[in-house]
Amino acid sequence: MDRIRQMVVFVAGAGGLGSHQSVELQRIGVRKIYITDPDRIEPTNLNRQVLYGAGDLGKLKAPLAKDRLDGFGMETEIVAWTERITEETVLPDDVQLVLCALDNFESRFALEKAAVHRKVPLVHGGVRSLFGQITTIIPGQTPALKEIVGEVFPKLTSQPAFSPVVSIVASLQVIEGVKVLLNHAGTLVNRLLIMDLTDYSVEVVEV
Amino acid sequence: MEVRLFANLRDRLPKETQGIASVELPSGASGADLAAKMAIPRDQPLIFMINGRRQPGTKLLQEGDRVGIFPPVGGG
Repeated sequence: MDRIRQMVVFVAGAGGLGSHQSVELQRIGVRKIYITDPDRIEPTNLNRQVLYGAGDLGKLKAPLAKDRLDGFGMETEIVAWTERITEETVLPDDVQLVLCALDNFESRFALEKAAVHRKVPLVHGGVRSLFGQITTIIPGQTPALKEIVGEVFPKLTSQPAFSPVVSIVASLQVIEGVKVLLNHAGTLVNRLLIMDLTDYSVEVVEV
Repeated sequence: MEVRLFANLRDRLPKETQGIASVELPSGASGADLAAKMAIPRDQPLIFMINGRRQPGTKLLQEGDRVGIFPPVGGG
């Protein structure tokens, strides 16, 4: 537990995945969470973004996420960012782990670049309908995200993210990040977890 | 060979198949050829899993290979 209490985690995105991740990280007692998102809360967010309610429409996500988390009165320090993740993003010096909770691949690739620059592991997680995918990117040890998922991304058709699936993927990302920082065996380093809840199948393939 | 489609790609097969199909391909065919045979649009990004490992779409397939095809998902 002492090692968990020293962890500093960067949660990129305060939407569905990021809301769940930050709650879980706070409950396990990490030292600090950076939570970043430039967007404001929209009605379509409320089906899965558990830190916000119907009275929060139009408010910036990241500062409100910080307020809600601070309101729980736990020891974890919460830092809110409202900057968009771009190719120029530089992560804070003390970040040890990045959890990707973004909603598009352009930003995901930019976040990976920032994590590589900081030489910290990034746990990638994506959700669509009843499907989820998770892998861990470690600079110098794993393929880059583009090598795994491909480089060319036409706009994907919008499919609703089903809230229970979002919470599962977010929780698995938190578990994976902690395991990676604690050097546990059986992580998703060089492996991709593919979850398809239409038949509850979970595959883990080498990448 | 046996091919398993994941996520929304399963919609291309009858529901009772649970996304699994047996496909005949000429020798020298690649993963991308298999996707084309299954009428998966070429502009859709795909991840190919062959015998439990991710492989590029250009990877040539062998008789008896177990192939999985799935789209990357990036929503949050």
